[in-house]
Amino acid sequence: MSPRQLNLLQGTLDLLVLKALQRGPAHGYSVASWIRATSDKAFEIEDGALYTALHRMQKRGWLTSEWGQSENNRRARFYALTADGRRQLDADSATWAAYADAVAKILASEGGSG
Amino acid sequence: MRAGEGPRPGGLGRPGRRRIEQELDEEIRFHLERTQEELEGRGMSPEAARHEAERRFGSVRAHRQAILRLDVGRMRTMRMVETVDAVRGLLGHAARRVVRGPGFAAAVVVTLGLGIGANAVMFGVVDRLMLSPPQGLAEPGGLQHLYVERGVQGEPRVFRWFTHPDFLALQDVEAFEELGAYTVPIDATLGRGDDAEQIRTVRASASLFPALGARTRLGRFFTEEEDAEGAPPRVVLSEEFWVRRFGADPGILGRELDIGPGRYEVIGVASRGFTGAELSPVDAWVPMVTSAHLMGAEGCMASPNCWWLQLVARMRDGAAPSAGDDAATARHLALRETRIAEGNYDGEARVFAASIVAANGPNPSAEASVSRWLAGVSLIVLLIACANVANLLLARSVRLRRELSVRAAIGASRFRLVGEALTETVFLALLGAGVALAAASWGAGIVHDQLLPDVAFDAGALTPRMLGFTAVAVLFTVALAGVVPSIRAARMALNPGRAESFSRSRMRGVLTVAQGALSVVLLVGAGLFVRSLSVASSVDFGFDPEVVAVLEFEWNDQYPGPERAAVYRDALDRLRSLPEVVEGSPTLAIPFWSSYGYGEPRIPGIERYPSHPGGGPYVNKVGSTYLRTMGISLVDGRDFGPADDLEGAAPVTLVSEAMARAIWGGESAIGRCLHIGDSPEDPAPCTEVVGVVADHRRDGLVEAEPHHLYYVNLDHPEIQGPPQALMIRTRGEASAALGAVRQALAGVAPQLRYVKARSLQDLVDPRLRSWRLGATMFSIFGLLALLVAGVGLYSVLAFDVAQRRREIGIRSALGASRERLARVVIGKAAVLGVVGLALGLGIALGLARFVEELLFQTSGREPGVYLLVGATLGAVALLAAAVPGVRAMRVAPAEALRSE
Repeated sequence: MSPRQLNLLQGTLDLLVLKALQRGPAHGYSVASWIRATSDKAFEIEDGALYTALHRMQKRGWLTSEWGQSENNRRARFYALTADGRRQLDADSATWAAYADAVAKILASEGGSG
Repeated sequence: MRAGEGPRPGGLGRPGRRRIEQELDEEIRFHLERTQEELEGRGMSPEAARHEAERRFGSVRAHRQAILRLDVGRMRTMRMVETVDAVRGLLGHAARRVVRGPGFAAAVVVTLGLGIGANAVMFGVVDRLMLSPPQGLAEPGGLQHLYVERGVQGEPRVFRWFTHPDFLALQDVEAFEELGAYTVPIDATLGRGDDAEQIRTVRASASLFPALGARTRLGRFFTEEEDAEGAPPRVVLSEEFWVRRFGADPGILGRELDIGPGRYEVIGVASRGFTGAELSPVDAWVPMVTSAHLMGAEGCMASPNCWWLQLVARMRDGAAPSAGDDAATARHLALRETRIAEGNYDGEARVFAASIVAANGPNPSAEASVSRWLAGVSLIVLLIACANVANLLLARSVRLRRELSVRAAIGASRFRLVGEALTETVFLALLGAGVALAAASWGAGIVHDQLLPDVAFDAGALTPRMLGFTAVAVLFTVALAGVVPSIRAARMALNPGRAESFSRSRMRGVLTVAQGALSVVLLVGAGLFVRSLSVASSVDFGFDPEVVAVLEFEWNDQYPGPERAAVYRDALDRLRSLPEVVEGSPTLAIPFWSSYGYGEPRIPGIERYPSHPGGGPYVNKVGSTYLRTMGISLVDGRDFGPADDLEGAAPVTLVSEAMARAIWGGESAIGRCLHIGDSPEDPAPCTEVVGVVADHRRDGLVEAEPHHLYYVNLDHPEIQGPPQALMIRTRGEASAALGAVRQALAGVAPQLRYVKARSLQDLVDPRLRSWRLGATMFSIFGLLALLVAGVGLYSVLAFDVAQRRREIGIRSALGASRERLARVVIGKAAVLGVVGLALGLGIALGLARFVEELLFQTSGREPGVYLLVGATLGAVALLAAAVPGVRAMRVAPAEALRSE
């Protein structure tokens, strides 16, 4: 694991997956590729964990899945956001942005005990 | 084919665990291969690419496990939601159907309601009479009633009665932790004058309450010291009586109540529902010893001849129910040998214990036996109701054929269709259960009050056990009436072309025949019981109970023996002046109420008194006008005359025909001698037989052989004690004259507290109860069954005609006469009716001998009953056929052809 790579905060993986599906239905492989590419490989996520997240969110009703044809004509399971999933994405994005903002402000401030 | 189709209706084809695993494996495989391809595309060797893909994925096993758990959980949730949805859908469907066809629903609901309701009522009765111990007892399993079996003329018979010396001797039997003794409820007067009422008083030993584990609501029960000679009298009230008479007054303890000639202090109120070891209602318990005056025969306490106590034993922990039998038998026999010379009592006697729950006891009451039968009968009514409902459902499924076929064609599964039909049956059965409970709580109240007034039922007509029983009955009904029609309906919908209407109509025919046959059985039963009741009510007692009134005086210390004679004389003079009164006489014993057996008289020339299965001979001491008052006829010799009533008159006797014949055979009895109360040390003088009277009943409707009875004149030196009652012969019904009689007696003796006036018929009536119960309930059930079966036959025929409209129309167009068409319908009714009738009569004849023992001098094969039932069923079948028959005649050819 390279030092540049970050460990994911809990719940963040869900947010990333929801975000990946915002563009439309996708199978697990393309979700993984998209996160990897978009984050410039900042996160080291096990693909297995990503699938666990997909199925967990499906159970919660944030995603649905359906079998379909992949881009190279193979059977693949496609995930799509449900209305609940979309709401969850919006809420989590807002929380995350506020959180990141607050942390950034603290880090940018002068002084402090550390 | 797309594998991800949503679950189909009916929930079939849902993804199982196996499919979930397969799909997950496919998904992971796709991912790994795709990753590997991509890496190879960037120039990695296949081997390296595969390794990298696996590294990026992490542990396949661990992740797969975690994901599977999630997916299986999701599947379970989905299934649950689906099931809930499906049930909701089915119930909605059922409700819509009910709304759409209210007539059909009403027919089913009412049929089931009455069938189940009748069963709930009968279950309640049987449960109370047979299956449950009396209320308010601790650990009833450890309680045993004691019985004595002894030979009477070589035939073993079982009795419940013991003497007081028996009670004392049996108390120290090792296996009995406690032995309680008690009497039947005795009617005693409570209060004085206008405020007085009769209460049911039980004389009990102090040990009865600890033996039963009884608890009080207020105060305490009496102790051994209070149940002893000279102790101040105490009384314990039943809760029900305390509420009814004293409005649940909490200050009742310490109050003094006038009960009979005594004055008792209230020391306790028993717990709710407690009636002692028996089922009959009790108002008050008084100590056995200090209440001797209530029974008017003080001599009974010490007498080894006076059988008046019932015994209940609390067994020691771990003792077998029969553990005390041998010891008890030995003590009982020891008593007999030392204290009783001989009698109608064969040396062989055996005391045994049996469960306090009637079903496990040796001789259940007549009411209990009849109830057991009635419970079976009510089950038959339910069977008929089930057959009818099944029939209605089958008929309806034919009517719904088109709708069902269409739905099957557009993909409704068989399970869905069966489910719908079953849910509808369940739905209707639940509505039926509602009707049943309403009918049961109403019916149970009536049965309890009118037919079984001597049984203390639980407060409230519906017990939890009855509710449980009703639930079981509903399940039973659904299984019986709903399953087959539901499956058939679905099968028919799925195979619309199959020629099934033949077998279905045959099935409906079978159901109709079964209904007819079962109702014939019930009607025969009803007929037999009604006949038996009418025979029993018109039994010739040898006297006239309807026109005889019984007057009992509440004596007290103001009137010792000799003074009472004067009061009786005075009372009789006043009564004779009433226009309602014909004649009257004092008597020592009251038929069907009290009686005395006084040992056997010594008769010159007779070695040993001829024994009689009913015991005896029984003796009564009466005034000279007794025979005329009662309407007993004189067969030979003379009646008592006024001279025999006088003090110091010579002892004379009248004997019954049966007794005279048994002793003197064909020779005349007149002028013979009875030495009454004779013993070697103290020989009794001759009591001369002056007359022979016709045989008459003493104590029961069923007296196989007339009892041996004799009467002695009022001042007979041997038969002591003042008369107990006045018998009064009235003009017209005695019950109508009671008011005038009571009025005339006011003031006859100022210190007299109360005169109990009843008609003799009132004393006889309770003996008719089991027959009345049988006749009433059998008739109700029989008519119910007939009605249901009649409607069933009608529905089959009407439906048949509706189905065959087209055929009938064509026939009619081809020139068949209307009569011919009607004959087809009526012919079918006749076939169904005759087969059902024949079957039913056969079954009834087969069962007849079992019911015979419950009938009163009525053969189970009474031809009149069978003929009447046959005619009735024929008439009903004809009636049921008439409407559809006429309808068939009126089918217009053209209309019929259009109708399909």
